[in-house]
Amino acid sequence: MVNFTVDEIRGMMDKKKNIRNMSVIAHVDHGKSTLTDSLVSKAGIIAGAKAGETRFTDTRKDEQERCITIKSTAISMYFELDEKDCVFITNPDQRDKEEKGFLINLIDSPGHVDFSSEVTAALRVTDGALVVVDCVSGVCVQTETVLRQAIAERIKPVLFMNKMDRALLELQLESEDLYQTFQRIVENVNVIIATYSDDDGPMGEVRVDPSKGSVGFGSGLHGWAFTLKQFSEMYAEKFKIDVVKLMNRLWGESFFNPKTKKWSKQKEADNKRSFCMYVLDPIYKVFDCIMNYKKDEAESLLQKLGITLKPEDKDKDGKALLKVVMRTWLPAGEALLQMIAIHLPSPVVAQKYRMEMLYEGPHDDEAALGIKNCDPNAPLMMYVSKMVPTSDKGRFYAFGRVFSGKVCTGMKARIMGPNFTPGKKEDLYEKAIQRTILMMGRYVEAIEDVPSGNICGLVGVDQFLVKTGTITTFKDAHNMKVMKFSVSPVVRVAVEPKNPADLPKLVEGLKRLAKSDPMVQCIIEESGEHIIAGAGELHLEICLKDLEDDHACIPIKKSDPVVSYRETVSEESDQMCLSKSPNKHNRLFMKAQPMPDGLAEDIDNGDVNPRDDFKVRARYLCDKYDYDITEARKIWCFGPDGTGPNILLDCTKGVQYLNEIKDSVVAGFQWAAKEGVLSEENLRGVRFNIYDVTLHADAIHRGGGQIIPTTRRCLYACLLTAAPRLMEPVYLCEIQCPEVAVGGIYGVLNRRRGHVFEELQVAGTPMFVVKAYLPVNESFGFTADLRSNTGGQAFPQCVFDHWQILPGDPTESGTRPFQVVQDTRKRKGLKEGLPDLTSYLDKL
Amino acid sequence: MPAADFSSNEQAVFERVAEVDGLPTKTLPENLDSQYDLDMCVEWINNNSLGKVCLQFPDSLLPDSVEIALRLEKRLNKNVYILGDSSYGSCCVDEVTAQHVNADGIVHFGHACLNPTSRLPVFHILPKQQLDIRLFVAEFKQHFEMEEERILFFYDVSYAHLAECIYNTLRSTYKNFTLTKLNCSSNTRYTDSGDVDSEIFLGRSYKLDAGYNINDYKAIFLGPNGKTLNNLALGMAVESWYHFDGSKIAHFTASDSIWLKRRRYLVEKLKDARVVGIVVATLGIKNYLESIAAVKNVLKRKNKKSYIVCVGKPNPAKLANFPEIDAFVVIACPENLVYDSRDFFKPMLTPFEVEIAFNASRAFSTQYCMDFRHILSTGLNYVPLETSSDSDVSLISGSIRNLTNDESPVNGMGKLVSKSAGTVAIGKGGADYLLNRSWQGLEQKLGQDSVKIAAKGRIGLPMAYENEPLKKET
Repeated sequence: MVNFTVDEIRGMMDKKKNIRNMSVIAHVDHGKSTLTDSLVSKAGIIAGAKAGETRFTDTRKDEQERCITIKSTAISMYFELDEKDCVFITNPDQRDKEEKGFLINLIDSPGHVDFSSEVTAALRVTDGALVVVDCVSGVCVQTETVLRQAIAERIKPVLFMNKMDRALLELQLESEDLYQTFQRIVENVNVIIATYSDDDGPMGEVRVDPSKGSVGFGSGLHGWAFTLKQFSEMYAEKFKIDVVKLMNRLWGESFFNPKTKKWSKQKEADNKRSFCMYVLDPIYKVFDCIMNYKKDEAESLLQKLGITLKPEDKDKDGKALLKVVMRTWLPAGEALLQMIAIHLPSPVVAQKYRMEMLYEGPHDDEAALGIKNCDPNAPLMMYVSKMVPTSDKGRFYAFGRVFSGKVCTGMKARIMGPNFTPGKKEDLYEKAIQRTILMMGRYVEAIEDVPSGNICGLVGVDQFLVKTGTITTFKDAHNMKVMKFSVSPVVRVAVEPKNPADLPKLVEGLKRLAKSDPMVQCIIEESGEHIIAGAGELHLEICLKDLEDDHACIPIKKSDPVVSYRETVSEESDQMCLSKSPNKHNRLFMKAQPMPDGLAEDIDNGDVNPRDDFKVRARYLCDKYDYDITEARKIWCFGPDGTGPNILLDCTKGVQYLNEIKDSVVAGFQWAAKEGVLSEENLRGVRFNIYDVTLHADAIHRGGGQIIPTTRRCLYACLLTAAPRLMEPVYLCEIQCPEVAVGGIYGVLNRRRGHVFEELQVAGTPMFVVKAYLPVNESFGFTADLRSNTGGQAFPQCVFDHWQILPGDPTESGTRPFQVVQDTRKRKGLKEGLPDLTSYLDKL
Repeated sequence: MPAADFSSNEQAVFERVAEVDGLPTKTLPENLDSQYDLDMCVEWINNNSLGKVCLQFPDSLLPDSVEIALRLEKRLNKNVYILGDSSYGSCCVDEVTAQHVNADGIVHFGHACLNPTSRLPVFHILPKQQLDIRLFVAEFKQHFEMEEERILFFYDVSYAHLAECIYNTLRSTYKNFTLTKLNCSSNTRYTDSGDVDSEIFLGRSYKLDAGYNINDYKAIFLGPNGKTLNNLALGMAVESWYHFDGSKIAHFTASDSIWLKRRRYLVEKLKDARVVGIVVATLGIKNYLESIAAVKNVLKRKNKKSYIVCVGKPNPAKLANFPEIDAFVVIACPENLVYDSRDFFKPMLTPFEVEIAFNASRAFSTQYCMDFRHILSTGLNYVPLETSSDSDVSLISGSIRNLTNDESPVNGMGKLVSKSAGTVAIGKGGADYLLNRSWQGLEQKLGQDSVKIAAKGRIGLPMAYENEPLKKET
């Protein structure tokens, strides 16, 4: 553990080429936090008395107890590269010529899919990612998700194969099998990388390659790790061969014949794969002689490897000895930190190609250039990616990355929330930054200023930002892009205080909770219920616990988890719907029809959106969805909230004064799209066509009062005549289990309306992966149910995938959707029963 | 141009179906005098030596109105006036309409909300609902076993004629049984207390025993489970409420109703609003002007643009003509139904809700005050205004609000504010809304549309043009 003063760290911060900002990402339980520990114990800065204890980055009590990371945590490390290793860094922007020391800011992130919003927030402020894969279970769904996200954010990955100890001790794999396993994982990872990036893309080659040293192997738990560089260095002397050349020979189809001393590209009878022979065999030998208590053999082997044990370790045997030996021989910190320093980009390198992904404004303004050049003298551009609670109740540190300029204590800056648009005042505050701080695990240190390329925290900004935002000193700066999460808040609970008088405390607590988590939504519904919406049951459980213990500090009653439904239509309206305005002088003629499959998703993803050029959008809709081009050019609006997955089209011809009532019709459409006719849920995937409008010749008789309520009535009539349906959210569920448990999985899924669409064996292991679609509404208690039906052997990961129609007609009593509609109406205090078409439809 | 182009068809007025609570029935002529206590009515008019008197009826009693008027005219020997189509609600005394004939007093028939008026003397002829008193007393005794329990007795106005009898029966057993009186002049006794010591709440006056607080009491309400009970129960912090529904007594809680929960959402909407309309939906209830001023003041302190809207009886169509207004505060009788309606485009709030939303010094309470007079500086529930400028997260939009770096508030549209870069502009609010509209007035669109040959437009009357699409289809 290195001890640094704040001044020394501040000095390091200026050497931006020697900074590495990186996150550790992986599937749940692949050993991120444990691996991080071994790095921290090697290189952590400003060590407290408690440093080095297990799961250093799990700062919360529940994280320690559950052994699961919930919040991402940043720590800084200092690492000096040896002179001989410095030659591996060829890019001049990756290292200051004179400087061997590296400042590594590492963010440990959660692996459970429910918390992947934390990963997103971590990726935003880092440039590189250490992807950890358990070599026994291989690449899992969450590995793929986070890796995909990393690539999309232009984060360069390196790979680490963790849990080698398990492969050796539990699975007792032969060395060739182990090589094959490694090879497959590397391939899988590279397939994912290749899917989402190009070698000739701006990041250059992104693929990981053991022979380049960008893949590590080892065991975080036992604290040892290596890359081929380590072994190559050991043998380079002996073989009189260049380290880099040897690294190439130690991986892949490269075989060595010890008798003839010849290298070969093919497997022959008397040669052996070089990786097995030079890398795995020595490790196998160490394992074998220590675990089988071959004391003498072990001693000579240790001597050969040049390992000298400390006196207190000499008496150990079995696993304990193995740990010590491996740790001394192949210290994890050294190998990993080398890998990080050599292969992950510095801010100078990374920000060159990340700027266009990060900045919404023109790519040649001052802010853009500042980011691109990572220029500490340019105007300040900082992105706040999350809020971290302070010990002071209700206050937060704004945690983020300085991309350009310098942020200093006391400086006046523009604080821009996600709704800010240049030239407007909404979501914009000009305030002084109270304090700038360094955040490391659970420690916070004040620091005078922080230059570009570094990660830091701010005090006093939390009042002006909810979750994220941009901080700048450049007057014409645009926002930095808002993060896009891979999960959606589809599971909801209603909360209320046990004691009604505590309501204000609950509300206050909800507001704090909303800040403290990147994704949770705390809202009040039309019914007046306070709703917490999260990604899954575990996420909600943690949020509720935080709310009760930390944010509101009152006993809370919570409802069972529920999902919100969407209203849609399944056919075109069976008649032209006419509604008259209250004064009977204005009439609207409309119809509803379902959107073609995929369009609602396109709107969700922003591929079709209100800001598009209408001609381009019309062309897209025409080509992809066969929309009539002239109609598609006249999309009046999207809704609800101006952006939702429903559209209103003007199919009229030559109607007078139509422009005048457009705003009123749009207002009525937004209203109806937000509160559908069946149970006042949002609409989804509905296209409304206005076919004709008759308007009073006098403007006073066609004002908002006449048109807005009439539009709503007409749209309701359209919905009711177009075979209305309900939609429910569906999870994509990936379950890993041994073959024997597969039967149990099917049973559980069938009971819960799930259906399996893929089942395959993980090559080289007895594990099966079952992929299924499962309605979110049926997923409550699914994990527990699955465990009890498979003897605890199946482990599911569920992530929201799509909306699907809930089978059945909601207007027919006795069906499931009917029941859902009735329950929702009752909860919202609406009249029970069904809305009456005649109250919306008029006759001429 | 025919008149129909400018105004609604007169046919529509005749065809319109009035909303009537309860079935309109005609009372038998021989019962009329006793049912409506016409003697007392005449006595009141003569005692107060009133010249012109108006009679106000709810729609359901209109069938009797002519007969009553004729009989009164006969006895008084002068003309009386029947007020038709009351502006706001039949429970409130319609002073404004009465002033059209320069009336000196009003006789109000039927259900009353008992809100005091400022201008004219009023005499209430309260309805008389029948009740099996023995059943009530028996049920009461069964429910309240302890004889020393402190109980406040409330009742619907239609049971006022029985209140004395019930009180006397129960008082003999229950020493601490307190009767509340209706604060008005009416055809029943035990109203018009006039006692200066007693407290008045929603038109009901009562006097607590010395040394006891309101929360030492239980309260029982005799009458239908409706607005009157709900408003009383929301506003009075008694230990617990009970309700007699005609057959048995049950515990009553108003504080966790779906209605009240929905109000919380609407209050949140109000907090998000930038432009607020103050809807004047009463011109008779005492202190309504003070209430408007108070609401306006709160909004101004919170930097929200406000407009005063006076549109007669508010309905969705009228208020939707102001789409730039984000929320409406309605100054109205507590029994007004606009607070329950879901048909309005924008939320409808009470003055008390403005207080909850913006007055930081008002401590949270489970009581809900529906009567706007109570929160005025002269009212029971007054708290001095104090606004907080702390930042806050909206639970609807999820964004930051309540920060005061917006432009300074502007009172009239004519005033200018200076903006940062040396420019001036009319204050936000309406102008901001106009900016976001797609249609901002006459647009020429020169060169943007392709040239078209003039086509024939609509033919006929707006009620139903001759060339409308639906006609073509049928």
